Amino acid sequence: MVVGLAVVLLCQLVGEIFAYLTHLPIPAAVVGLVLLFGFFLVRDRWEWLPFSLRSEEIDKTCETLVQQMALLFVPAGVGIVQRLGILQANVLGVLAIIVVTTAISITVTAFTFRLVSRWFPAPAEGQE
Amino acid sequence: MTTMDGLWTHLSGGALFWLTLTLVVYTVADRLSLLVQRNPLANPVLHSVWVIGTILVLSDTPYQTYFDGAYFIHFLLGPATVALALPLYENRRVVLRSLVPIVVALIVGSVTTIGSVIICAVLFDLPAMITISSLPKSATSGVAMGISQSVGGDASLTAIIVVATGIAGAVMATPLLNLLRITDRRARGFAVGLAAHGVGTARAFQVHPLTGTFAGVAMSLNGLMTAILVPLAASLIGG
Repeated sequence: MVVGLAVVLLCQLVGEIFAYLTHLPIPAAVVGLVLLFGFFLVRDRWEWLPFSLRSEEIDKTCETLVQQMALLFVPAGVGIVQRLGILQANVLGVLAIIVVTTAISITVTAFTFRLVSRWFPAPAEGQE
Repeated sequence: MTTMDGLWTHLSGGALFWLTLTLVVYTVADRLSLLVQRNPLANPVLHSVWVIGTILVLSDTPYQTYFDGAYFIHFLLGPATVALALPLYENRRVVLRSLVPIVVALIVGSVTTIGSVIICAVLFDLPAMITISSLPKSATSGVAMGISQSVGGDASLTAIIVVATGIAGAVMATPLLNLLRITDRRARGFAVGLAAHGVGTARAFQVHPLTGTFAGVAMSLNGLMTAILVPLAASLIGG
């Protein structure tokens, strides 16, 4: 748990430093994701890494975080109690933004994905 | 009676009570969702938010007091986004094989999301503050709040709209995609992750690991895409 959290936080920290120094509009957590991905690639190829960095714990920590991701949105969501006034005054528009644009977004994305994957069929298994 | 009042003041001022409340309410909501076979309407985030919100209103507790306690949970949003590297790594071959549809659907989906928010705002004549704060609505909370701040939006309002979008997407995804007859798990996952970020991704992982992985890929890529597109869109509408 400790080594897993340390590795994940370290990736995020480097991401934060990267985003701050480069002024690129790239979210720190996304940079951290790329770094952790690189870490997994390296770990499974080089045996010489210290044991704690090859520990299964890192995978377990990531698994737990991903599995419990929904819970992490609760504190921000409860913030609605703070903005009830402005939301009530624009209730129809806000509902349209929350419901209608999300439905449009899911529909357009799913159809685009399906259409393009028919134009560019995935290579068969084992051909990578 | 005064002892009880004193106890309440003591507990409600600290982190322990609000942190425990959040975990207990969520655990119950999650169990209930499991009891009804993960019916999308039993979304645990949706029900936790209104239950805790009602408790805050009834007990006359300022949101900031609650948030200071629940911050430990909120903080983990960043690490959880980083941790999406694991399912991505485990499924890297299948993701790599779908690279072209991923890139095209990402661009089309992200532009559509932001464009539809602007159209909605014009149709309903929404105040500029709501429009600007809603532009990053499909990016995950931590990312969206940062984007919102950088373009002069209200980060708290963004957080609410982002979480509400995630809940709406997680609730509607399964019936909507069935109605549209999209059967490809990759397309289903990618669409829900792009539109409904982490809440949608959590829902997608409940359905199938492959659906969840594509949702996670879409969520992280759309965080990036939104960060690039929203400043452009904001300068267009803000003048």
